[in-house]
Amino acid sequence: MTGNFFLDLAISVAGVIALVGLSAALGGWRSVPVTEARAVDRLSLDEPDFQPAFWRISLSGDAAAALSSDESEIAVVFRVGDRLASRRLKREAARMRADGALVVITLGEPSRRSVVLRAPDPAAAATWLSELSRPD
Amino acid sequence: MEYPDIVALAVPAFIALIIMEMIAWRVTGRGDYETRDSAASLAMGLGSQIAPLLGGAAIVFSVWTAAYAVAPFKIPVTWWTIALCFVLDDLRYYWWHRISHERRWFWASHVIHHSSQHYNLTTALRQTWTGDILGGILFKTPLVLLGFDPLTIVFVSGINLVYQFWIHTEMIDRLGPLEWVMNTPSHHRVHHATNPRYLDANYAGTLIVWDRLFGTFVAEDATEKPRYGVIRNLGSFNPFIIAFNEWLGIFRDLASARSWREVIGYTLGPPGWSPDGSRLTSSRIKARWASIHRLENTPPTEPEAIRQPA
Repeated sequence: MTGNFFLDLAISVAGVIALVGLSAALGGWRSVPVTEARAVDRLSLDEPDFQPAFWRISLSGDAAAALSSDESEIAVVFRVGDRLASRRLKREAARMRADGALVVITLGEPSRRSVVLRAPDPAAAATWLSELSRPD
Repeated sequence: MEYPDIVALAVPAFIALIIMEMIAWRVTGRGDYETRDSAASLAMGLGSQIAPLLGGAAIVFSVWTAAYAVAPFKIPVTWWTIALCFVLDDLRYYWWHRISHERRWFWASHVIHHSSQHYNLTTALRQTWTGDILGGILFKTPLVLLGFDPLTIVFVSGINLVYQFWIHTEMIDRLGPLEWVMNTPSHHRVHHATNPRYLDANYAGTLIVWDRLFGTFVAEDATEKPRYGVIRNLGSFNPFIIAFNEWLGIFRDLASARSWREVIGYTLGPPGWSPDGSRLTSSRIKARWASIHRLENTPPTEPEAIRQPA
């Protein structure tokens, strides 16, 4: 590695920082809340054969979860910057728990360990958990 | 022959064009930028320049030196052999790119380039850190064995890479007759789209004729806007997760493999392959889409009595 390499690297790093700063200054640092309409739209594109029976939308605007109409699967939709991503899980294999007013659904992926739904209160979280998780 | 470092020379133009595109986005509303997404793309680009220095470049250099030494004849470097090398390298690129989408081992490196849900000039720089050393070298070495000077191959590959930068934009619509021969922003938007009708299409680097020739060409449909990203979009902007997510997935699957068939399926099967078929490959996604599309377009069945001839 030569001095030129490190000079090129320094210029590249400075260039990256400048471009990221410009993007932020132009309004690029933004997020969209997950609403039911957006969650439905995303899921209909990603999983067109998934028929949601109902949705539970996190009060934080970070995520939403739906139970399939045949009650065999759940779908989660979560925010990634100004876009959404979705996952479809077998209800019997889905790992989820309530933690106060939160319902935590474990995805176990490197890019997203879990999805958290914020319910209005702990009682609502318990209800959401029982609705979404597999029947005992 | 001395060749210029075409990629290094192009960097100032890359930066200038990204700035112009960002400003055009704000002024016209066309295209889209998200800061964390752009930061991730630029970090991946930076990493792709550093990663080969950790040993990959030395391995590629050694393999090519050995391959060139045993090549039965050496092709002289002239303007027309450079042009021929460019065309053959573009054909090589088509097949490498196609296999990178069709086989998971190669996809694990290439998926990085498709992991953004945005499509702008920074997406062009979202490049693999592992591609050359974990498969790309297999596709480039035959040109060396044919007798092309390795430096010529590096040069024409650089031109190909630089060409592909400007096609990562939503700012440019169609380009008339150029669309027949060249890879264009419109063709490449289709390639980056996850809409079922656009999957597995337009693998070209510079010349779109390869897709037309090998049956993988799909034209952009003005009525269906491309949706960018991958089938299971990532939930993170962390460059290290972007770089290694699919590799971790392969290792996780291999750890659970119960037979050689599963080992081969998880590594050399199509992305999304699983022993029980519980995951979706692109061909199954297209089949599902076609099935839903057919149902939507099937006219209501007429009563039997009406369909019977009189």
